[in-house]
Amino acid sequence: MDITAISYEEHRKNLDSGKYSAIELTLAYLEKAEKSDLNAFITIDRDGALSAAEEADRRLSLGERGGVLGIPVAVKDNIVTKGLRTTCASRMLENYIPPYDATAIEKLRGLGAVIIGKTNLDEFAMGCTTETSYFGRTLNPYDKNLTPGGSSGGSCAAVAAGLVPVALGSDTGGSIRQPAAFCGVFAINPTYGKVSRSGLVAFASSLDRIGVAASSAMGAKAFLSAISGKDPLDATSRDVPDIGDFTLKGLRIGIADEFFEGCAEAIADETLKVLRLLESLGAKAVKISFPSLKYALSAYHIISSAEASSNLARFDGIRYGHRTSDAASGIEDMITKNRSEGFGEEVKRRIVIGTHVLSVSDKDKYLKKAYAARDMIKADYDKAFDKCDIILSPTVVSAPYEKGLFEKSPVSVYYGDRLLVPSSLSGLPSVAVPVEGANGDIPTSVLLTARAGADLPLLSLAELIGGAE
Amino acid sequence: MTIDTKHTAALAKIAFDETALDDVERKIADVMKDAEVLLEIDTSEEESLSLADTLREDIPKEGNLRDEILAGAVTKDGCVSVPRVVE
Repeated sequence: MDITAISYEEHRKNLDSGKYSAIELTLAYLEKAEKSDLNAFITIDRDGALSAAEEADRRLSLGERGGVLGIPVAVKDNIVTKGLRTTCASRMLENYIPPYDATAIEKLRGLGAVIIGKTNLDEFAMGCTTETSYFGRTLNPYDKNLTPGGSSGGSCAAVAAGLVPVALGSDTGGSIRQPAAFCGVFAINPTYGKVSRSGLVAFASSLDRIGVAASSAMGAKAFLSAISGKDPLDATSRDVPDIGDFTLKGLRIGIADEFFEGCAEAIADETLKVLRLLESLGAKAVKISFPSLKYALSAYHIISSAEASSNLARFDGIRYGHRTSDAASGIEDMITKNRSEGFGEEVKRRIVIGTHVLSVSDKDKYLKKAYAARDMIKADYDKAFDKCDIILSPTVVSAPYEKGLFEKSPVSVYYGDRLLVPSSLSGLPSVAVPVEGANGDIPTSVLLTARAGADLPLLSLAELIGGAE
Repeated sequence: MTIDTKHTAALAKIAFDETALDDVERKIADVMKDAEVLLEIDTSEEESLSLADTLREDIPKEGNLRDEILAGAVTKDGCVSVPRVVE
């Protein structure tokens, strides 16, 4: 039996019953990950994984059960891991060994999860295809000419290819949900603040979240539960009160015409099929309106670039990070050389946009408007949630991008995140649920969004939809 | 809306490869052109920001990670090494 082909809940049962050990399970995934040609991993940590698995087996032998104990997991390489290289897929951090663990990692290690390695991403999580990675792009496991999406493309491709059952990713404007859609896996972008950002290398702090991608909704649930909770090291984290599971009978599902503008017909059809499925189980469709959607992408780009220009100012190559080998005329010149060589072009472009919109002359022009748009988007959600319990939309509006498209025209690729950025700007949880058949063999995805705290019920609903498909 | 790319990049202490500059400017202009949709939003009414007090207790914790922290830097005699900054 190929034990890498099964999902979290089977592993949980089998580890708890002793059908196989954490070491056996870890070895099976490690071997597959090491042989894979998808470039999903930047670093594979065989020794660390095996010693974590050994410890998990010891705890299992003492009678400990459940949770994430002994389950292999991959971690996006912008989440710091003590003693394990963390690159953000950037030349800037090519050799960076963090002296501390992210809070989410500390929690996972404490609960006995087995970290297999660090996954590829767009540089500093800026991009939608993994093509901006300094370490080369990740391939889509369904078709190697296609991109896996991004920025958490390595995490989602690894899950889709069965190199791990679960992976941590991050999501700033769709970065875990969009690749989940392109790779046909489950992913949650949790309520903002539910998971500590301490140790997630900052891109845009008011938007960044750590999320989970998994081959099953239950896997995402177990890992999300493991990493959640208020953390003194992240002032924006909090104990988000959980909302109870949704009852399907009478569940009001909001759907807006705006969601389908510019959406591939096959994906729209799949979304309506999910709506009909839920209706057949007792839910009812409610028409909602989302007029602020037209501002969402631009508001996202202005706000995230502004925050990025500020956050990435810390990378000077002095205390850590890329140091130029060119002669420098002084410290300012050296910092400019370190940054210019260390950052790739997409990152530099976003820093320039951010620096510009933060400048005195243009701050009110763009940033203030973007904040106002953010308020309008939140207000549209508030209005919608007066009428409905969850909102259903496509996750992405097209099939996975061909390689090379992003380089030609980034804005045309950014457009694909148009249904993902509104919940990012509003702090709301949303779940990408894989559905079959929209693009031939390549799966697509529907997106479920609900009020803050509805993370676990959204995953229960995702399990039901995924199981029925 | 055009951005003076070279000037703004210099403020952020980055430089672009001269040969790539046209392409960089085109891609930045594309984003800023899309962002013009925001200009129709009325922001004449000021909103006030309210911030929650999220400061944590100032309790000393184990620090002294000198070696681990310096491990990522170019060092000389246990100090970060940089070009001469004073004449």
